Amino acid sequence: MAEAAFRPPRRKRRVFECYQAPFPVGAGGGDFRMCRADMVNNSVVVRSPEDVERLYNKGYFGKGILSRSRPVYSISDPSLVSKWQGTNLNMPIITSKKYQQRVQWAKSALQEQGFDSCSVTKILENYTRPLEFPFLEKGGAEQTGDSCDTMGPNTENTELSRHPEPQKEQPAVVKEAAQASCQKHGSHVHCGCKAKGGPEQESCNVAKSRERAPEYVLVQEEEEGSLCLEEGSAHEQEKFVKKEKLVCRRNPFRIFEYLQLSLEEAFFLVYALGCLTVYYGEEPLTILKLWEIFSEVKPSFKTTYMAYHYFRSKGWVPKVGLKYGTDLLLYRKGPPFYHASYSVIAELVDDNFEGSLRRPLSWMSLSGLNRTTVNASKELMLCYLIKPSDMTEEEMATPECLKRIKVQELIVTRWVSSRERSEQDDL
Amino acid sequence: MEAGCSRRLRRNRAPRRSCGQKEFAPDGSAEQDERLRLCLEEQWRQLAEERVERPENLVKAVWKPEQGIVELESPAGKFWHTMGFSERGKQCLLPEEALYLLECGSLQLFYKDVPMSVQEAYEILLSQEAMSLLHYQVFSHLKQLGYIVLRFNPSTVLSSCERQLNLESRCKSSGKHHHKRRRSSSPGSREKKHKVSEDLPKAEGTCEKGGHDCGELSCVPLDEKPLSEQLKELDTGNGEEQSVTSNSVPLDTGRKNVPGPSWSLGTGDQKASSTGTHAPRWDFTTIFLPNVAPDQPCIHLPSPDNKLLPENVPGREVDAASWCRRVNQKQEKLLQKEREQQEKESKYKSSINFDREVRCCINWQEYKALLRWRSQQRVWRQPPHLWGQAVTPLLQPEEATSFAAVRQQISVLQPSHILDGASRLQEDLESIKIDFNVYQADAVAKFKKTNPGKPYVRMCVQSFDEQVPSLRALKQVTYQSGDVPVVFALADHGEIAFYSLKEFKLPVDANY
Repeated sequence: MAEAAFRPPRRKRRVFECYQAPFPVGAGGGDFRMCRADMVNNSVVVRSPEDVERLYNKGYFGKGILSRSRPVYSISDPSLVSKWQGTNLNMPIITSKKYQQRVQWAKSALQEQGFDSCSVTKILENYTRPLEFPFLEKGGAEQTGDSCDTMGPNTENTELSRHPEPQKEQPAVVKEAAQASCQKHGSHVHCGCKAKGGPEQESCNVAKSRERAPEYVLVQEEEEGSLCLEEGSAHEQEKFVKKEKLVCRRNPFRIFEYLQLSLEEAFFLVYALGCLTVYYGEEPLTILKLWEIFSEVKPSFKTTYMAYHYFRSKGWVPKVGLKYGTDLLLYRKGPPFYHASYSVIAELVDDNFEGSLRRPLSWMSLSGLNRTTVNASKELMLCYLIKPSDMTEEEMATPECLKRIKVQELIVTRWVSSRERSEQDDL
Repeated sequence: MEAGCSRRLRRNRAPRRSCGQKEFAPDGSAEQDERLRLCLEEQWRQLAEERVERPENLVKAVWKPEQGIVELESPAGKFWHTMGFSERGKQCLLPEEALYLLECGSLQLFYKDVPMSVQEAYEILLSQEAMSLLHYQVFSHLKQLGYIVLRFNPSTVLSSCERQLNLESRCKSSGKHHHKRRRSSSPGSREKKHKVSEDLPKAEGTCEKGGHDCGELSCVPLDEKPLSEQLKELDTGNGEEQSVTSNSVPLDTGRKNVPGPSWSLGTGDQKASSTGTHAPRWDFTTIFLPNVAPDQPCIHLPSPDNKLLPENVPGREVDAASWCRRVNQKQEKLLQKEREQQEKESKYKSSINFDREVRCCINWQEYKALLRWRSQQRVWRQPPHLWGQAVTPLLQPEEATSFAAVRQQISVLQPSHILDGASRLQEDLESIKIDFNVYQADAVAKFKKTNPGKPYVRMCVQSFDEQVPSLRALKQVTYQSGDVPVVFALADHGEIAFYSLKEFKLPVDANY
């Protein structure tokens, strides 16, 4: 019997990140922080930017909903950023057209709220007027001072006018915009709000109160009256030189990117590390409850979780294996550093090493799977989770059952007969 | 065919597999059609070539159907070094060996004095149980690559130490199937020895986590109802001395009311009220408010104290029995939407009154104080919803001193080796049989048929449509093979693919 040889993971050629930590806990005493996640429509979402940062940087948990993996969504246009390289003001730069689009969205959102078009225009004009750069530091007060007198005693409007500290409160325009837009745009603007009321609505309110200052963007606009004709040319179509400039405004329709955790990741953070709390509405869920809920949402949750937990406890980073038709992809340290080494299929079997398989494979499908895996320079691994035959349903209803589970890993390799002969390789 | 004709034709060249660049898709052109036609023609021509051999080179053999073997009539050639066996003084060949030699053109096979064609030989020799077409294709493929392929015999399996002790000869003669042998521990495994007689993992007690009992029960149990809802619903006057109910409106709907301690013994709200503008005028410890909830019906309502009533409002005693009968007569009908909402939420929620600490609050102020205290706990490391439950997180915050320590705390799943528990499976019928022992071509020189030694690999022939062996079957086969790796050979119309499923232990990434 031969054991499969361990092949060291392939390092990525260009690494842009620094490795911080394998887990969000464990860096010594004072570093503990309880992160918060919410159950929204059967998925787990982390909204607070600090939590998002922490969970992703330390262990590569989750995926930004508007990004490929790391939540790096920004409305900034990269081509504009490189064009205006001189001005490094650390604000996103967007085209005027894009900005206007957002103004339109904010407008329709406000209209859905029931404002008449006159007040909508007023609100938006005020909100989106150009701002001087220096105000960013502290002097928010002077520019917002004049906004106070424009509004009436309407409740919503008083919220708008009552924002002398831009750092603390979110202007109502965005709040409402975010709220209403969810009804319209659904998952697009993932604020966690749903059309119906109920706890989701409240969680939205709570989340909003924690959000940060308005987003300041630089809009590339044409300068007024800056057309200059070239002299002495006879052509009809003249080169109109338009001067462009950057104007600082507030984004009236800000989109927040959240971190979505897979069920296994969320459960691991709650159960194994104790550094995450999952809320439903305002209710923190217990571990048992989570185990039950997740198993309902995803029938094979227990199996995939056991595999996830096992690989995490070995120091590897498991991510979702959907792209390769398997359950998990194993990375060493994290996706930015190494290419995934293993593509894992998890199966639960009993003491007699048999069980109803989630993926009953024929040799045909196994060879197909092996081929695609090998083409991506990974190895196909079958992970069998062996549970004792005397394990009852009751025992399986708690994650404590993990302690009695055994794990058997197998690597699928293709034996090449002609090459083996000439190279005298070890099998 | 005469000997002379053979010179013209190239004898040993196999038909070329490719005639130039591969055509990936039909493009409808005449040139492509022509190219393909030429290619096919070439292939047919080569396949149609007659095979020629010198008659004197051919070994004569006779097929013996009763024994299922082939007997040689004339002395064997070079192939005898690696193929064939002797029986009762005669040189014999197994059917697959004979067929292979026939195809090679080294053998002439007779049956009832008539030479067999290759087609006939395929049909007749491979009709046996032990050797099907699939098996033969694998055999042939490997032989052509130069390997030495022998049939598998379970009794000749030796462990590595037996081999070292040279027990081969002894084993062969005894030929029994050894079940309980002590095996050496394979290198690279963990501390565990893979004893053949090892039994099922009893509660191995290698549980790295010591029993996790429900943390500190002094912690507050789960407070599950969204606070905001409750705060909104309960219209708090100044100290309404009713226990918290799951839904507000006190008397009519009469939902579950917590049977709290009697009112008069309340710890009293001597503390300032939360709305705190003025001190309460009444002493609620002495005022009796009847409980008319359905679970504790109070039919008889005594006359209230006159001091409590405004001036021109008379109070009187009442027998509320008739009223109680009229209350709650209709079942509350929920709208479809509300029902769905309720169902959805019931997954996540449970009644606030299950919370022991909440039940201990006898008035609204106490409850609010409890909530305030609890919210402060949120910044605490051990919130009650995690630590006050039956199942607590694996990692204790104080144990999170280093990443290695964290890793150790969370490692609760136990590893298993492929041979664990394999010995007890041997009594069962094997679903997969090992078919061949394969020896490397380089070993030909030293190869002795009578004492072949340890095979390079053992083959199990399978069909592509079959299911991948279960873990159980895999364990059986691995155990049976001893220390020789097992490879699965899949034949699909002449194309053979080989796969192996090997034991593996993912190493720990001790990066930190």
